[in-house]
Amino acid sequence: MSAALRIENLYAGYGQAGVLEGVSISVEPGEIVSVVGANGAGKTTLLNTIAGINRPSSGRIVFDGVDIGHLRAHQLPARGLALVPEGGRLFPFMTVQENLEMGGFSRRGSPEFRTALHDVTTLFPILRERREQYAGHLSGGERQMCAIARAVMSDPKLIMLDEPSVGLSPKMVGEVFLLVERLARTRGLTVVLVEQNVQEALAVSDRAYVIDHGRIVREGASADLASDAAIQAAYMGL
Amino acid sequence: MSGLLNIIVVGLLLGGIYGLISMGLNLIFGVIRIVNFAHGELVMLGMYGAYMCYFLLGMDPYASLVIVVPAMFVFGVLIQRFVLQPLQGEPMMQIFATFGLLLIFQNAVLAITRGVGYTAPSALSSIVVDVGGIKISLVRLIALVAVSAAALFLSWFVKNTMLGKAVRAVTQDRRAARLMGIHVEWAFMLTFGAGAALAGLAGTLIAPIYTMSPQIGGNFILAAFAVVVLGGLGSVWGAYIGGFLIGVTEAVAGYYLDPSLKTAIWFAIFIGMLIVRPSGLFGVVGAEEIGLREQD
Ligand SMILES: Nc1ncnc2c1ncn2[C@@H]1O[C@H](COP(=O)(O)OP(=O)(O)O)[C@@H](O)[C@H]1O
Ligand SMILES: [Mg+2]
Repeated sequence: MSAALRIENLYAGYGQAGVLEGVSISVEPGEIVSVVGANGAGKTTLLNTIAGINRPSSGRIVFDGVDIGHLRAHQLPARGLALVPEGGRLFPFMTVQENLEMGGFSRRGSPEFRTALHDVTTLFPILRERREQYAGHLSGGERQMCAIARAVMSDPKLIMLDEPSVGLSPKMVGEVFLLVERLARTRGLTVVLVEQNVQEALAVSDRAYVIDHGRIVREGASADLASDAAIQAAYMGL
Repeated sequence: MSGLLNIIVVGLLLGGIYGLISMGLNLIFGVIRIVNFAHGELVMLGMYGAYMCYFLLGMDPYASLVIVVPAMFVFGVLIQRFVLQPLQGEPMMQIFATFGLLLIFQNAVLAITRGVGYTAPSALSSIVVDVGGIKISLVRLIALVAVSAAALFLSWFVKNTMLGKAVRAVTQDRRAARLMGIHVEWAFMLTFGAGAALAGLAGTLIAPIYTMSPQIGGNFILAAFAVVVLGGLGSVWGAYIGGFLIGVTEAVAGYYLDPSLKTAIWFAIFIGMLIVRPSGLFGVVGAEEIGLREQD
């Protein structure tokens, strides 16, 4: 089976400062893979580099069989790669509906665009109620839902989520993760989930990588990592 | 009473022109976050463009709109692409660059025309319409209609087309816009082109009214800044209404006080508004703060 996403020996950073120091990751189609690690470990840098916001200084990013390392961020949604950035980054002075439409920008004018809008609001009923509201007026949980729904609007093959649990109540975290799981299982979506909330992330994902100071230090089945004493001590406060 | 009414009408007609100029300035500022100091000079180039169409082709200024407006759009796109985009991420340098453009345009036109004042006469120039006893020159009335049409079109465009919504998205969060598949640099080129086209439209419409000089842009740009701050940054209707408010204020103050006070009045409005309500009359409260956020 060919991987949905394969990252080989990736180096990236900001100016002179290196952040990622040779990261290698592989994600199979339909999998939920989490990348967990402490604050500042390089998780956001990793996702932003894959999404074309940061440039890799070396290494390869192969998505769906194609090296995308040289592509820029706006070229990726049309290829089926979507990133839900840290904090959601909705357009605050646009309505929920307009935010969702922007999510489908890469396939505007196609017949699927309208039906996608309908599908997505079926998947996220709360967004239908809030359709005409400014996104800036949503609650934290609704905002995260809207950001995920917006990414789904581009009909991605692979969706990357940057700390979707940040700032949410434990109950909302559960709901968001359940939704991510359902998206993966029902739509065959491949998911890369980046989290500091290690316990929840391991519970929802199939496999996981632990990143520390820009390096992958552990990998394995999520269930195995969750029961690993060293991981529990370092990341789960157990 | 009819004296005051007359003055208000004069102010409204002047305000229409201010509104048209401010709309382009505001669009560029709202989306690209560049204060385009050369905007008055784009209006000036539009005027001279209308004159050239008259001089070379014998065209009436209103007919030359079909040449001047698209030409200014292309010119704006080229400025964004080859002057401002290379300086992206350096807002101060971009401001200096637009100031440099101001000097270049003024001096280039001065060198070419040797300072001779032109006008581009229109067959419509001498027509005066009588609206309820108030006499209004047709060319000014046309400017008023044009600014209304431009405001209607712009606000329809950004609300109802994907491209217009994409431009709003770029305004609110550039990085998120990129993640949606929006080519932010293209949105900037389109926006600067549209702003320049509006300036060209304004310039052509006032070509039959004012005698041209290379510095004439300066007469409008200060008023346009006051309009933008009064109406609200990034707001189409703010620029529209703001234009009328500034125009009427100028006309009334000019009649009852002293015409030379107009610059002082613009600045009083400018500063007063910044203190009382920085989002302007029609801006979304908080929207102006987006300009202060990190954009990448
Ligand atoms: N825009 C930036 N410029 C410079 N350094 C940055 C920038 N963003 C993050 N960093 C640095 O890169 C490192 C990794 O950050 P980040 O990828 O955001 O980690 P995480 O998402 O795991 O918390 C940190 O040391 C951080 O200070
Ligand atoms: Mg992060």
